[in-house]
Amino acid sequence: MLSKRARILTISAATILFAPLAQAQTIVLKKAFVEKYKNRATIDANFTVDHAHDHPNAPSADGDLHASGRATEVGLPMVSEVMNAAQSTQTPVVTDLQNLQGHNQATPITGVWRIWFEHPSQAPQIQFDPVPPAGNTNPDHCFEIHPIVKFNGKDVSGSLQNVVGFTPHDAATAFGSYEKMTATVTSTSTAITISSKKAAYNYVEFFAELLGNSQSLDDGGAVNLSNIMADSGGDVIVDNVRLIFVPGTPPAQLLKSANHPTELHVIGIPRLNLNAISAFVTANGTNTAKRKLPYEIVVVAILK
Amino acid sequence: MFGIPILELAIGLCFVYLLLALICTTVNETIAGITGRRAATLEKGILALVGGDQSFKDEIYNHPLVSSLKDPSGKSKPSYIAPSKFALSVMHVVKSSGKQPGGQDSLRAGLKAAETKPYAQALSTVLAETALPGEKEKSDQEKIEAWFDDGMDRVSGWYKRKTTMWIYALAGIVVVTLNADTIRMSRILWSNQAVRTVVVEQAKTRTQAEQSTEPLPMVEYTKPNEPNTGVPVRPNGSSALTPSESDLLGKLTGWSGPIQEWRGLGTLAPASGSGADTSTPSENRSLTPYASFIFRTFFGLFLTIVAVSQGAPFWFDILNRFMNIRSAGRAPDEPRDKSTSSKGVTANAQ
Repeated sequence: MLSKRARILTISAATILFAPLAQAQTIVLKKAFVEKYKNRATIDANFTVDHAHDHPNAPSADGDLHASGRATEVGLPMVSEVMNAAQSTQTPVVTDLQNLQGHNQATPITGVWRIWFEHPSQAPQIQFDPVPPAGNTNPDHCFEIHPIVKFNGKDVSGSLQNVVGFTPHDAATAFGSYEKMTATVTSTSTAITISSKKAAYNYVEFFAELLGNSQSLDDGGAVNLSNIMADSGGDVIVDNVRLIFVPGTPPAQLLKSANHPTELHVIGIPRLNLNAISAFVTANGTNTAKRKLPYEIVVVAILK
Repeated sequence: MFGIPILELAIGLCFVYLLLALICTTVNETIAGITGRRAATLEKGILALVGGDQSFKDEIYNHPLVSSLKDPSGKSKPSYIAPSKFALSVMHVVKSSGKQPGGQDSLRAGLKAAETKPYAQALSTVLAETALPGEKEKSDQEKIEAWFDDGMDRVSGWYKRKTTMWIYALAGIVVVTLNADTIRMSRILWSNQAVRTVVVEQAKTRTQAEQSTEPLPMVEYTKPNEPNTGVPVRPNGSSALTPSESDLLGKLTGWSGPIQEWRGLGTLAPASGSGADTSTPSENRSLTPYASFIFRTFFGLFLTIVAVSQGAPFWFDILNRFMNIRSAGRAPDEPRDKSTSSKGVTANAQ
């Protein structure tokens, strides 16, 4: 007769194996996708706009304009967002997004890929399963192109700057929340399944102590390891966070032009760190593991 | 202090059993992944669920909703299928067989067309289920999902039994390969305080790590100039045991010591091993030194196999209890737990 404990072990394994996947906040990514984008700031895709907001969000809300849609390169329910959408320099792109909604026309788009469990669905989202047209501007999604830097040939990379009138979340609150998040990861030879709880704190303001030199990303962007602080020269809240600089945007230009800056006052948005996911599942094989959610911060504005 | 060596011996044995059980679990999971044992068990369960109708089962597996879960090479079948996907596939296959795609009636028509088949009889019964007073009537999809879930409970039981047999077999292989002989390990632990101390420290480290409520990060970025190079933190697949734990196992197990002992049996006095002589005078009189050695080794290995088969959670639980007893009976000059100091900085190892 086998002991109760041994049974518990096997039942646990079997539960993991056969428990229904129908949990919220589960996303299944193709490994090839993860490998392609783990060291890129942006994604190039062809975006079919299903719905777009009539007006940008008020600056006090975040100043973004949302558009829902689909892209064959992404293969997931998604939205795309323009930062500082009320500014006249973004008007051509905002107008195009609004005019193209519902026309079922795939339009070239470049922007920051962003996987974040902010608007999770009840059902698992499996990459490259058929994606039906979105029913509104904010369908359940874990994937975003946010911020957009180019749409329909029109450049809005200059939109990555401070949104006047908007107050980002404070560093202690936001990073405290990010650090508490967990993810359950498992992989097969071709796919990686990631489950996590709903995430929050989209925009966060902090000071970054840059560690080491910037390294180039595959799309021309840059990445730095940094310590995160709430105040200039203050206590480190989190260390060794990847900061992502989007090619051609004001933050990336400032990083290049500055002579080895040691500290930056930053507004950023968090996203899943695919570099960490890739390294972990490569070493972890097909085992299931519950770990801290790996994240990195996309720099969307550098404050003076 | 009286009692402490005995306790440390018990801790040492529990810890070694835990490490060996972890090895078995890791090997078992690897084999399960390679052989597709989970997928095969699931397939067998679904076949049983549809009344052994191979062609119907194949139709479900070939349905795009399920076939998309396969490896692109088509060699490996899915290890799990979401109930919703199973239900939708079944409904679509049944409707197609009724040649009236679409609508609730077409599902019944499909079942009517195949009413002599076991799967149709089972599904008809499932769909005929009515809600209890006060309960909301379930949709057809929900009923099929519930039927699938019930079936999967049985599949979990099968898998559990299979895993149990594998664990027993692996325990035998691992224990014999390493010569993890309980009697010999006990002698070493009893006679060598240095080894005993190391084992207890390692056990303490392991229990503290396992008891930590904070999940580990996935990777650590340790080099400032290499932000694209994350170092995986304790991935399950590659290091169930830490290097120091592996070293420790090496000290307590292995064949070289017993082989030397065997060779020396002809020239040395009986049972003159590295540790204390545990054989009784009557044993020495009734058995030749060789027979005694063989019996002792086999019995020691048998004890370890039985122990390791209890699984890692069992030994982790026992180890924790012994550690708690030891902690409660700490010597006055022994320092309290040194690992409770907290760092002011949260390491964002991701």
